[in-house]
Amino acid sequence: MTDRWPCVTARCLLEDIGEPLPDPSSQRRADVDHPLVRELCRLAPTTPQGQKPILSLQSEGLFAFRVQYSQLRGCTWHDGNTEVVWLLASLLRKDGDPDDAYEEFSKLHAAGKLVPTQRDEVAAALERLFHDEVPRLAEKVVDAVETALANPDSKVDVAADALVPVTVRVEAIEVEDEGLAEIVVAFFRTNTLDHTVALALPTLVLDHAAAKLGLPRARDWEVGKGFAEFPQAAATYVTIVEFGDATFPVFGQ
Amino acid sequence: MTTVQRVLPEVLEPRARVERDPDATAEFQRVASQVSAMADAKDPALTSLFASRHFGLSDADLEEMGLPPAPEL
Repeated sequence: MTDRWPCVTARCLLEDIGEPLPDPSSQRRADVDHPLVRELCRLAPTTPQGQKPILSLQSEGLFAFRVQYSQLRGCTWHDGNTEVVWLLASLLRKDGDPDDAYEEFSKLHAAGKLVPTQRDEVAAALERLFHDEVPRLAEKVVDAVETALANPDSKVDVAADALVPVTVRVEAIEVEDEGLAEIVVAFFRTNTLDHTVALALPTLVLDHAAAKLGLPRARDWEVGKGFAEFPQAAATYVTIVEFGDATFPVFGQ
Repeated sequence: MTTVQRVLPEVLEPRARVERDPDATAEFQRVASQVSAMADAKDPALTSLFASRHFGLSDADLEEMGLPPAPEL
């Protein structure tokens, strides 16, 4: 996990911007059409370069930085532990007024309402899982399957720097004399996953990959009872394809 | 690519390199069917599943996020 992920706190989205909370698996909060959210996305890769600090918040220990559009003022905060860049607030500049944006930022922080909640952090992690990590891992599996089919002796390992860490090994094995190949996708897990999540995660990865490769969907794959060459695999999924009229080179043909 | 079989035919089993686990296959296919259906329908229950089972959020937390309770699969 190295790329920074822009996100908006629920309080900011609901109260300042006036948008409902999206389902994190369907839509990112940073996809909301709002000028300061667009600025957040633009600045996130390099924040805080080019941004002015909000001194009143920094004096309170929150290293927040300014973002602005017309009379709108916002504050961003980069959580270095999770690499999420948050838009914490979006309010109007009313210089001299008690409800000026910067005055309100301080009041919100004093009330403990400015920084992300645990639910915000989970929402960002879910967005990252569904919109970045699963599709990226699936693309690697697609490449690995194509490589394995083209090179029957190859064993392709795919490492995922994911919130749900897995390593995938892909092999294609010719079923002799039948013109068929077994495609084997073996998942190694580096942590203990909930049992249902451990089945749901490969489902999402296999469905993404299957759509690209024209393979059966995850629900039609079989589960291997161990795989002698990869005994450490936590789960091994197998499907059968005919390689005689494959759309990409198979086994060097 | 043409998909030939969804399940390895018995006649090919002796030549298959990966031994099948029928019980694990049945369980995976049951869960995968539900997960795929939720993903296809953009059902927020899928989000709730991960939020609850992997990130430890309660049903009250899910409700605060506008999400339904986590499904039992």
